[in-house]
Amino acid sequence: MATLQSELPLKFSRRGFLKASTAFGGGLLLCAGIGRFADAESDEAHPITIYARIAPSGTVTIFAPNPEVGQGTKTALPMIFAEELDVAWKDVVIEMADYQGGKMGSQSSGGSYSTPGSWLPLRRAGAAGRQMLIQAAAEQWGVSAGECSAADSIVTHASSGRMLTYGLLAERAAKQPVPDLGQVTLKDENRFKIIGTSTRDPDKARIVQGRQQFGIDVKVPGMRYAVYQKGPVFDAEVKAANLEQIRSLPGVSHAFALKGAERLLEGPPGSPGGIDDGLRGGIAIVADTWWHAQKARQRLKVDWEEGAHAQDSTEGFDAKAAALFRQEPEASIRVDGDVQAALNGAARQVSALYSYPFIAHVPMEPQNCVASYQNGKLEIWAPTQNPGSGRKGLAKALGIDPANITIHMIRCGGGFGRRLANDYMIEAAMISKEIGAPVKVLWAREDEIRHDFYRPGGYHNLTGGLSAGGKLVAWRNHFAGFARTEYFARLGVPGKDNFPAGFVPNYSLKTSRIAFNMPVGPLRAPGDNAHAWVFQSFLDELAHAAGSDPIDFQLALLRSPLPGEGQGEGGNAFGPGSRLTHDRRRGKSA
Amino acid sequence: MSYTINVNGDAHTVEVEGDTPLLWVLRDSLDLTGTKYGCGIGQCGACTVHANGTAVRSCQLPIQAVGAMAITTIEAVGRNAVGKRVQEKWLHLDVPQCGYCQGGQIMAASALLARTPHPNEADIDSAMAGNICRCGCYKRIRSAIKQLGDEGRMT
Repeated sequence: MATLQSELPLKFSRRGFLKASTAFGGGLLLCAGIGRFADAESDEAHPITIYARIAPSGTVTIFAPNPEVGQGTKTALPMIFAEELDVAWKDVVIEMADYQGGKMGSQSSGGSYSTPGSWLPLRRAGAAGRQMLIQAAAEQWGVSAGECSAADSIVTHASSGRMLTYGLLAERAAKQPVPDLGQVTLKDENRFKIIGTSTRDPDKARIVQGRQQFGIDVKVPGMRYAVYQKGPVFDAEVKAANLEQIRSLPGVSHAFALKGAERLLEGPPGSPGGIDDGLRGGIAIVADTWWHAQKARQRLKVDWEEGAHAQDSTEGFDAKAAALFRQEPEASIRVDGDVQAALNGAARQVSALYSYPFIAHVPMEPQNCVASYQNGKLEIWAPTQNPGSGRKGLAKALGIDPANITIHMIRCGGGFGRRLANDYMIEAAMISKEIGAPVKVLWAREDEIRHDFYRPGGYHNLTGGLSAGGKLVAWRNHFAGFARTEYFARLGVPGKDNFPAGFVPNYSLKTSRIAFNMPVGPLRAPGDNAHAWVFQSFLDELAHAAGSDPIDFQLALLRSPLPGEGQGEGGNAFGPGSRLTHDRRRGKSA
Repeated sequence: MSYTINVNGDAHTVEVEGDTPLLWVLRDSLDLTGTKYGCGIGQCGACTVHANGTAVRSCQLPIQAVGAMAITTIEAVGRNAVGKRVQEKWLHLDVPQCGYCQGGQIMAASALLARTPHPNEADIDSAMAGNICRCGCYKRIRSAIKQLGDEGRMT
């Protein structure tokens, strides 16, 4: 088969790609924290061929770059590429790309970033492909490319009426020079035919018939099944276990302990930390079926080294927060005006204590991964939202070159941020290496609840002051949040600009820390899912106390930003003269 | 131990212990992976299959209890008229989001519609309450079943 994939020897410069990314930088402003998912490990050239393959039959296979978690990215991203390629959607077949080590962007699905982050890079790549097909037709006809145009998988020479399909042009197109990505001409958005239409995800037909493959369904030749039992508390290590007895149980071939890796913890702002792919201590049980491994686990007796936080509990955290609220806060995030004086002078004060728990993501498909380690090379099949950090974690854990690791991204049965961490990949890879055979690690539901990367809990001790006219004049918040180091758990503390900051003349957000040791990570609309609930709920309480309609109360607040405020996230979106540019969004979620 | 069970109209003989849940026999012995593992304790519904036409949780059904029951899985439910209509409606309304729970949802819905062709709200609630969808597709699931019931009434 003549394909762009196999024959195109030409490459974009990475510079071109980076320009595209930077040009989009403005769009990141409303999407705080997204940079952490980016993967810039690769400095290799950037071939267009990783995006699509055009067969002589005219079928265009487009590789979906980012993981499909149920959010539709497997369809949406190929639509962007197809639009600029000017291919008829009926000619398109979508395949999930493997992880390309940075050549295809970050390839992560998180922070609502897949589509906006891919918008310009995919359009430019598609436009480059279209330009090459037009060049090929022009060359074949001996006319200038400027006289030719493309639409619906066909290049037309208008003045002579000649036409060639993409399939017939594919081989010649593969020999054309690849345009500079920064210089390609993008379509006018008014001419979009595919973007903006409702397009069915082709996986859905397989889903309703039970034929769609999810990560848990992957099977490879010679594969064995494993469970991995971690400790009853976080970061527990195995001291001793009845491994001999476990090995004698039906179907069990191996039982062994693995030691946990050092945890990546929060550092100063800007340093890595938070999502942690490292292995945790535990016991692997490998068997001929998953049921045998799971049954054997019920007979497992382990003596655990439980560490300093073994006695941590919800009740203990609650008591600690209550004690902290009886003291002065440790630190200050933001102070405007004089809150105490304003509260003293307020016609009415309202106080409330808000708290929310740690919560697990619980996607319907439990964590799982198939790994095959052989002669220093590793192949992974995983439902992951974030293969890039998975590959880095695997390379570190196994001490092998990332180039020797292939990651196949399999449709995820939900993610919600849980699969941004890749701990299950490391478990499967370490077990495969130990037993010298491919293995599928599957977590039981109980493992999911006990070993998640939890949305951090928190406590807000709030007091608001209302003027005689019912205006919000003071807002005081003492926040008690969780910290594993001197720094708060990532996404576990409100920001200095979280609304209504900047709209209340006397405002303070001060903090105290509660020591803990739980893994934490982003869960849908990270941070905001907790803080916005607290702030919006308390604003409603204040509105009721003021005798105002809650919407009117908030609109009045939004119309009176403090001097120099109201230009940030909240203000720009909702304040006076609110105007969104085409690449900015009002909301976000994960 | 050897068990012969009737799955999707065919007899299959497998060598497993008697307490092995049907779920794992389907998935790992018979490669019928459309039936999903979600919780293992009969609380999520992802593993729902039909046993003699009734929706059951295959994670709670040990193979030694299957006997001569006719087991139908999501891969074959489209062979009967109700199952086919449910699958088509699911596709038409684009019900699934991630899709992981949907095999179980379709099995529960088709068992309901086979038994109660014109279900009311309470019928739908009680038949579907045990099937969890973490993406939150409940509204479309309910619409699909409602439409199927209403269409049936008209014919």
